[in-house]
Amino acid sequence: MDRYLEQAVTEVPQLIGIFVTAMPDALLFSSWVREGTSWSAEDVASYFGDLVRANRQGLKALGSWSSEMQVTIESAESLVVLRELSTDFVCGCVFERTAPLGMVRLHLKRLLERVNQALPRVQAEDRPRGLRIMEFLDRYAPDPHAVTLRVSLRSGISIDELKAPGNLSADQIRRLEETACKILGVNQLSL
Amino acid sequence: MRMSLELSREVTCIRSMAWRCDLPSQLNWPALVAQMLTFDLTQQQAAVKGLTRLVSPRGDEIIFVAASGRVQIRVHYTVPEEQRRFVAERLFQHLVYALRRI
Amino acid sequence: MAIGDLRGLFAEQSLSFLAEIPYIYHCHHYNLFHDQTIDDALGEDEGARIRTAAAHNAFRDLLSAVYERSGATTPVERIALASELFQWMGQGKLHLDVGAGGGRARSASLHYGYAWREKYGARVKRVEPADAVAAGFAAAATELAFGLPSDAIAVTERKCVATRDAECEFDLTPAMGHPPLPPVDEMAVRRYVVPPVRGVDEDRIVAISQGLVEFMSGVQGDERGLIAAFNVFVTAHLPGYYNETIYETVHRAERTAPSSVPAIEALMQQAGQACVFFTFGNVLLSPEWEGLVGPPTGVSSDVISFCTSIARGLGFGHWLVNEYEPRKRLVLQCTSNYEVPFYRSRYGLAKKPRSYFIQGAAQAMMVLAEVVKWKERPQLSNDYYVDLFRAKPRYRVEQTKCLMRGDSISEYVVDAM
Repeated sequence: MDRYLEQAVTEVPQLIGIFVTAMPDALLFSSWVREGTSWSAEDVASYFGDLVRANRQGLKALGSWSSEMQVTIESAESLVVLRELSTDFVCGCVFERTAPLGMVRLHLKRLLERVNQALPRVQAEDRPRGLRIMEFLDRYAPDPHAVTLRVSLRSGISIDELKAPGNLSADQIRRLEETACKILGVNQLSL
Repeated sequence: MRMSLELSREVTCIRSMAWRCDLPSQLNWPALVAQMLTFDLTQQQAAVKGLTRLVSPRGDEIIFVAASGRVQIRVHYTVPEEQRRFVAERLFQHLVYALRRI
Repeated sequence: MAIGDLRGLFAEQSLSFLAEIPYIYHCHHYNLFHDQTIDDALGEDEGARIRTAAAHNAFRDLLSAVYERSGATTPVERIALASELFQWMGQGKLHLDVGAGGGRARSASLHYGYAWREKYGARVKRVEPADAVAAGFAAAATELAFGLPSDAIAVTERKCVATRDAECEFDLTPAMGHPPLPPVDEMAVRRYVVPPVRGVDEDRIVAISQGLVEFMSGVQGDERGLIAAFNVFVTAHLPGYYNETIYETVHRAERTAPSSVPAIEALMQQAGQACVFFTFGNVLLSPEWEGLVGPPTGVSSDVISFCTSIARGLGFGHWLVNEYEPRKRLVLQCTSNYEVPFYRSRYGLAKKPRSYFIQGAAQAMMVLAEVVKWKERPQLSNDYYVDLFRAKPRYRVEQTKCLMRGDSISEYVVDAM
């Protein structure tokens, strides 16, 4: 898939990077970034996935969600466009900030068609909630290097048990989720 | 003297607060400082010998290390993060103008 | 009397005092991680209570000593001097509107709340206030201004910049007083140091640390009461605060939840790592360091010597390099540090080594020396820190000797894994 992406982006001069995120776990599926760019593709893909999910939920709460939705972010240095390709994949494209919006739309349409064709049709695996919570914390907790120790202290779940979060009991998952909410300062996790 | 100048983000503990560029160490530093003072900057005593410290009214700082040619631009912490880059670029602009005049 | 005139230096042990009460410098990365660990271990409510009490006790000791030396006797003098001192320390500018029955305090710029918002505000929504140190300070200042006994004033922070309020606000109310514990002052500190020992590269370390001490003597809070130096927010802080919070927390866990102690100790070590990475690292990359010592050489033994100098310059005690073999082993020793006098004065001999901060610091010194590419202008960002310390550990540390336990010296052995 990575090689296919490389071919797909050759005709888009102002593209800096493209990230395909597998949902619902917001994990990197494939990516391409322009040479000299030092982004962590795993991190970017995960954040893009979470952003699209949060956007979807927000629009559903407003009663205005449709599967065609697109998120466009104009930052100081780049223009980011996020699109749900299917229920299984999200694609995020990062363009130079100077790229004209009309040109971006044109390139994006062709690019997404080509990427979509190359994507496999998958059956999402129902991964254990404990595992997904720990991965979520790893992405969003303020001190990710210390998060296992922090969770252990706050939840009373031993560090050894947290090393295998897929095997936690229902009560432990409840405590883990409460702790994650506390550490992140949110009322519920958007998993 | 020909030189190329690039402003880059430096150690970024307090996000986007410190910026850097490098000048030739054999530069006429007193002349550069004199030109910099024509902008809204004042020279204040540096805590360490060999450094020159220029300060804006808000507290943004430009530090020259004459021995190595290093220039550090420190944007004041009260500037919101998203504006720090622009403040640094503004100070960098002063530096470029000052260099052209010496 | 200027606050700076109250400073004292126990030069051969690299310990500093304000009106004979020990003080040191720590950055916001360390301070925030430290407080977070206390709350992780005890929960928010009990964590805030312990932290506020520790700050209350520590500032009571400091303010009492400062008032005695400065001759400040009236409430007006004492409140003004307390605010000036707090601002000088880089803890923030706190406006106290108090009487013998309590009152209010407020600030838009307190070190903890302001720095928390700067570091974490964009990522995490905080619900609990962050300024237990300012709270404890406000209570102590009020008590001493009006001649009240220890703990006669209780304090609650009800608004905080870290929870997105415009200002931090504190309510001070009457409470039941109790007799204070004796302060851990310079006399107590001198009881718990051992004669200084020369280490590897000693002459250079002494020269650099003297330069740093001189540099730090000019560092003080700005008009907002904050110190932005070396790309971090710095505080002059009281070891009494750090020590009481750490050891009360650990002792309580040992009594009530012993299985949680290793995690608490590991997090306390990580606070030491954060200190070395962020503060020491940023000092090494600063123009001031370049002016004082020169640009980074990239030589690992230089980094070890420089870190030892910085520790001394910040008042952490007489750290020395006993042995260093690049990429393999570092043996760091201390004839004094800021933890031992407090522990021995308050609790007697420790049953096991307990200098968690220096354990983590020694480990991080090895990482800085061996992994960071100093000549390539490294970005000492939070992301780089997380990458370095989340990766598979490269070095393990063991504290083999501890002055708290009654050993002849404190010793930390870092070995490659």
